[in-house]
Amino acid sequence: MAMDVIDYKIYGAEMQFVEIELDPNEAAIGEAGSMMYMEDGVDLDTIFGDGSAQQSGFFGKLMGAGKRLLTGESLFTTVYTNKGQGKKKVAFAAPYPGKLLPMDLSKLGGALICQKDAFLCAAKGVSLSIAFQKKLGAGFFGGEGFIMQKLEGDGLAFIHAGGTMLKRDLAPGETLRVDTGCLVAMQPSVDYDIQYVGKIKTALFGGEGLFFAVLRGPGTVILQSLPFNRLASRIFAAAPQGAGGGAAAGLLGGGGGREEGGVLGGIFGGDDD
Amino acid sequence: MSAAGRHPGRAYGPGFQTAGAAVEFEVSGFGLRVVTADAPDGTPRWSEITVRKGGFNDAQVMLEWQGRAGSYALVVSDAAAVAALRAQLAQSAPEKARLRGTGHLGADARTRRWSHLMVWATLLPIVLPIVLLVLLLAEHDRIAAWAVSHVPVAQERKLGEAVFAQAKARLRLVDGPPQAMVREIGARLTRGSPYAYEFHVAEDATVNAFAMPGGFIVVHTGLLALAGSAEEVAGVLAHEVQHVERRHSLKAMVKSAGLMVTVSLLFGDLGGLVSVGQDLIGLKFSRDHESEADAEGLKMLVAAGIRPQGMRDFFRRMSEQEKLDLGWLSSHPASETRFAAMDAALKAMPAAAVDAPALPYDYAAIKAALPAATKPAPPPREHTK
Repeated sequence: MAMDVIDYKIYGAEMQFVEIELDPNEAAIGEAGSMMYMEDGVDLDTIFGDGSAQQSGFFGKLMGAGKRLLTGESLFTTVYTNKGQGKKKVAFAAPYPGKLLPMDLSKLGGALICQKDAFLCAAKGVSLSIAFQKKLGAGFFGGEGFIMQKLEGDGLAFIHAGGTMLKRDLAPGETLRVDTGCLVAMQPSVDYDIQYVGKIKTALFGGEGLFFAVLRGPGTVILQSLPFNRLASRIFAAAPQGAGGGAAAGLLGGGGGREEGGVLGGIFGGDDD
Repeated sequence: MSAAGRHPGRAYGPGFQTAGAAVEFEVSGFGLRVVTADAPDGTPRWSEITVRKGGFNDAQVMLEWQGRAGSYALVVSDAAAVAALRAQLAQSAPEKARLRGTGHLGADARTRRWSHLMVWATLLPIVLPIVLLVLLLAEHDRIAAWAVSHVPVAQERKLGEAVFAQAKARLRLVDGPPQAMVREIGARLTRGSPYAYEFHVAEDATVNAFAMPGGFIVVHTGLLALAGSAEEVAGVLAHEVQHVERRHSLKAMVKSAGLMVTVSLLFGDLGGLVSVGQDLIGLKFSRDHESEADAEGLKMLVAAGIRPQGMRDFFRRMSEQEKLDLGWLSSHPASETRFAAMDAALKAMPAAAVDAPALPYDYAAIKAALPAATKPAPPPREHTK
């Protein structure tokens, strides 16, 4: 499957956007609502599914769309195609403070497991699917929930997460203990599980919770320093309560519905810390 | 493009790119050979290689070995390559052919214990009520029987009082010789019972008698008018007393009102049952309950030294009336059958038990003392029971 090779430039420091340069007839896919601007000649089309060639037929598309719903993406993908002459630009912005990271899937072996919601945009041909966490412990307490995203293809994909991102290559057998919720992405060769913090005193008062996420190499892992819901809960805690509380709660509670889910959201939505 | 016997994999370790390098590998009886432009050291033999499932969801096969420069790993995810690898392993290193996830992290006993605990703590509040409900539905009969048998007499009495208080408003209780007779016979029958019985006579032309939980028994004057002797009345009373003794009312409530009653019985809240008890006066006992009351009633009569034939005689009278009267009979097994069953039971009894002195009442006089409105046998229309 031929992937579109795209050139890009990332702007900004803490609240970034990426500008992608498309050659004539090149295309990029973007998460709905993430487009910031596009130049003349870029044609915008909404397709059902993720636009990868893997989905054929109506049911294939339907399946793809259903999976996208589960991972918290929208049903439709927007495809930005350069139908004009010469190079044209389209930009995608990150939805909250954090960092954008370009991931060259061809260098990562063609697949990457991501936290759901991490995907921002990609070259057309990259497919998005669900990676369902089968380890009960990791699903419940690993901080990423049971549903993760899998990016597949040979092209470039941009992922986004909160705070500063760390890309780390684990050698065979090397392990890294990570605060739950801080994992953004990893190669499928990485073992992902949970580990008890070790002492009941630490579990109760250490502030890290009962479990760490444990990552074991070989493979590349990407971590974030500030999971968004941690930031959100800090902001919420600092927001004026009482008289103005209604408005604040409305703003965060209503607007942050996806982040602040109920019990089910907590379990399936992940991002718990 | 790959030569025969070569399979795709991804190699990690010193000398390879840190994010892994796409390589091809060959397997042989000796071991593993990685074909790559990079220069890895050596071709590990099977004895040096650990084979396990690993990676996200244990979805890949990991071959790990120690080289001179450090640890290496070859990750195989291609299905054909995995199959070839397994086939080779089955020949060369059968002990490694059974690919197991090492679960090296999950094997940490404390992690496992704590995560299980937390999972249960999360799921239990959801699962437990469902399990209980299913259990209640599946074992409803047994649980109900157990609950009924554990209701204290005092509680049942309270329920009966409430029901009787409601019933009283609709009944015209009468005093006089008939009532005195009924009370005396009742007292004789129920001597030694844990229940404190109350026997009443209500002015009503229908042939009926009924028992309420806790020991409230009401006989209609219509029944007294139909009966031919004090022994026949005693037979009816013994039958009704058995309904009380065997807690048929509670059991019938459980049957008709079902789950809600069982739950309130389990939690000992009989107060809520009074609303259900509204229908208790009209409650129909099942045929099993009626037969049980018949059989036990006969024994009770014998134990009290009253001639049990009275009960049978009354039922013969009833079966004669059957075509005309549907009031009391509608819920009862056909009097014919009951009469036959009673007759058989009586014949099985020793003659000494059956032969008791007659009750000391002048029944004709008592009948004469019944309220004038009660005629011996006008076929009643209503179906109140």
